[in-house]
Amino acid sequence: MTSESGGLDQFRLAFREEARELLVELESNLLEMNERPEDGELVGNVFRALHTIKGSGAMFGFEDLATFTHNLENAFDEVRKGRLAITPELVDLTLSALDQIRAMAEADDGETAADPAACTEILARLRALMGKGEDAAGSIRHTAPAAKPVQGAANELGAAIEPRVQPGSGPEQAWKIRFAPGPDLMRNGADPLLLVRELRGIGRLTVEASTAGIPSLRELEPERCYVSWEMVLAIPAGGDRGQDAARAAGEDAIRDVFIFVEDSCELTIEPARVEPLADAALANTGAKEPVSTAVCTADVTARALEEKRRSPGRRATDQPDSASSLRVPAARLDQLVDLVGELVTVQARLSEFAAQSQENEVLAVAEEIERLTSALRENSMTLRMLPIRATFERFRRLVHDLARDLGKNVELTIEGAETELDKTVIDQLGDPLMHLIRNSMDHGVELPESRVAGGKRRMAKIHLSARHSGASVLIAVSDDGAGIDTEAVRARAIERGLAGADDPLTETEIFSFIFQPGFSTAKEVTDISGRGVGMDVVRQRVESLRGAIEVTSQRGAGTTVTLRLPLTLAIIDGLLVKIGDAFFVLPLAATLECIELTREEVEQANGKHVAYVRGEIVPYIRLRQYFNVSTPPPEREQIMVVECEDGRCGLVVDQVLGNCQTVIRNLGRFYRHVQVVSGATILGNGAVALILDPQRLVQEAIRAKIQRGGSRSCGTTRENGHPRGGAHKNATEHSVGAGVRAGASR
Amino acid sequence: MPVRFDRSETPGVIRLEGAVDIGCAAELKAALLEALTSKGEARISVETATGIDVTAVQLLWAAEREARVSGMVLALEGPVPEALRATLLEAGFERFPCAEDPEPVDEGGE
Repeated sequence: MTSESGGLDQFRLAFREEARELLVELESNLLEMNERPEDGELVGNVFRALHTIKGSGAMFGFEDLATFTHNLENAFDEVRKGRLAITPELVDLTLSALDQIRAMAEADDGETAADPAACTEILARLRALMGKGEDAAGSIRHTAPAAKPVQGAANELGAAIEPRVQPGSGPEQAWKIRFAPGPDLMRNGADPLLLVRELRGIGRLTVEASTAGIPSLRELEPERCYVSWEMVLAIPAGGDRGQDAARAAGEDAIRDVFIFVEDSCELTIEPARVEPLADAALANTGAKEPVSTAVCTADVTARALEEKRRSPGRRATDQPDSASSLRVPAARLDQLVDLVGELVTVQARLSEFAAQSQENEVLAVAEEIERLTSALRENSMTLRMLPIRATFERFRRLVHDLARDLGKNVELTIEGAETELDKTVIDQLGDPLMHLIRNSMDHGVELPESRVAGGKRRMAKIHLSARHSGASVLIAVSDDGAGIDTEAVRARAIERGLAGADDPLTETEIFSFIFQPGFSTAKEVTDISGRGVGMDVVRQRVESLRGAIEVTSQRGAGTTVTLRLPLTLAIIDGLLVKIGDAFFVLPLAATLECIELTREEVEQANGKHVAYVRGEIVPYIRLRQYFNVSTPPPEREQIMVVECEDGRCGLVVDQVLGNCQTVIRNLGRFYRHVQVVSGATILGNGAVALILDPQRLVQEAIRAKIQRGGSRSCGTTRENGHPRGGAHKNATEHSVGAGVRAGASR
Repeated sequence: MPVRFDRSETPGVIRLEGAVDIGCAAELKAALLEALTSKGEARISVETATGIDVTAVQLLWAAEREARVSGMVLALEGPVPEALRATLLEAGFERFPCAEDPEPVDEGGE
């Protein structure tokens, strides 16, 4: 078996991906442990995650990782048993160890970024904490990074992994496990013998290999496993935990062993109906006995195996499917979404053709295809939606480390971690959030003494939140620090020639300077920030995602930076509208309703762009003016009422053509500054329609209004129906139209 | 090479060295098939093997069964290293294939 084989590489990649997730979870649990050292659940979580990383690492040839992690696992086993206290030192040491594990997991064959000296030091300190002294530390193996065959790893590791459950150590639960490797399990780099050994690491195991499935030598495929296993595993019953919780934890621990092979094997895990083992019976078992007889009393084994013999045809597939999730490479999902995008475009052409043909049968088929395509699109898009939790959680470590380095007390709170976003958007979010948090930690949050002197809590707070808003998601980074010094920013902007000394600048405009390349008010450059690079990265990344940034800040009270991002970058539901001869698409999620606007109503409004919708005043933007459409307007125009952050607003179009599924295409770099258009799409007739961003349109209109001396709150209507700021009479067509144009050409 | 069929000796000996695993399973199968065509007897030596995986175990198991059915002798030559024996016992195999006292098998294999 070689580590270069395609199957094994695939599994190693899967391990890396899983390890990354587990390491984030571990960090999060460790940092919470600092605050709640008495929480046994957290200790259990850490222990299990370490155990899984170790076991899976060994299975896929990450020998150095497995050996290193094994020592950490032992330490947390001591914690579980109450023999080692959770201290900040232990947490910090474990966090440092996780960095090394991460480097080992990301290592290419024979190459690792892990630091052997740091690893040795970590293990020595760990052993010292465990009270085993430096001599013991010497016995901890840290093997040189190497891509050894998995089998080799198994043998070396074997000496290190001992069952942690001692005979007679308390009540136990027993599990009956049937494991039948699938045809490709071994070709993919997994080794069933290592899995059996892994089980031995979590309890006392009785195991029987069945060779009945081995075919004749001529028929036997050499790389396929024909052997299956029947096992009975006794593990601790879980102390003070309830029976159900202990059972669930027990089953989880067993499933963790098979986590990477669940899809390529038949696996049945059932509670075994056996009594707890008597200490006396266990005492008779000797370590030198063959393993198959050394761990369980004979009658327990016999009874469990007899049950199996009575139901020889029983297989995992007869059981309800407990492994209901499947790990799929993201690239395959991207490919699927691309194909669905093509299908949506072709379906639009079919619908167009059917409508022209006026043949009922063709129309019926086209409608059916449209319905199915829509369902397929929704389903495939859902596949790529992920909760933002993992992205948020990984910043706990950043905040912890920065707080320590800066001598500040900071807690990170998270809200809306379950908010789902397209994976392509989530993948792009890590860097901007990191820069925002670093900026908050360095420039926003004050030193503890300053906070106390200012009447604030000693512990500062950074809050990460996510929530949906129409077709967008709002991600905010808030701090309760010193707030932005607008005067300092303004002065720096003038100094750098970004603004004139007498320019009347709004707060929003002043804040926008922060995101300029190389802009910084910091007097000195630190390791953390001050070069004026980070916020520029934020701006660039958010722009590339067709998102927007909003900053609010109050001197002395804190700052909030909100990123408004599209839920997806691929396909959306839209409303196709027409202005003159041009087609546009409005995102359906942002659209509330459609009302008519007659020429008479326009004339009666005395040039003001407001409509009365069921007694409420709704300002609107005439898009034909904005886009300079010169053809005469129809007798009856349509107001599309959209919901924006600032309230309700209308967008006036000539005609609403109906729903359409919209594959979003980028407009290219020449249009990157056209903020009000979020992309383009190809219609069934081959025409191109621009996809409008209602939020941007309204914001630009409000911005232009403010520039002309109006109130910021005059532009839209809140749900209660009262015009904000009471100045709806100011929402005129001149300011709105001109303002939006100015924004587009910026 | 983990698998070497020494035909110069009588009976012929398949020598397994180092890690005997999926990487040499195809070779082992070919050697065993050849050994089974030899008249009367063949030997397998695992004395210098350092590890074994399930692919090798099942090949030896199948070969042993077929040898018995055809009335030939396929047996181990020399001792089984403790590491190999422990690996198999740990994995729930009742004995090392081709070792002493194999159980009788039915005519026709499985």
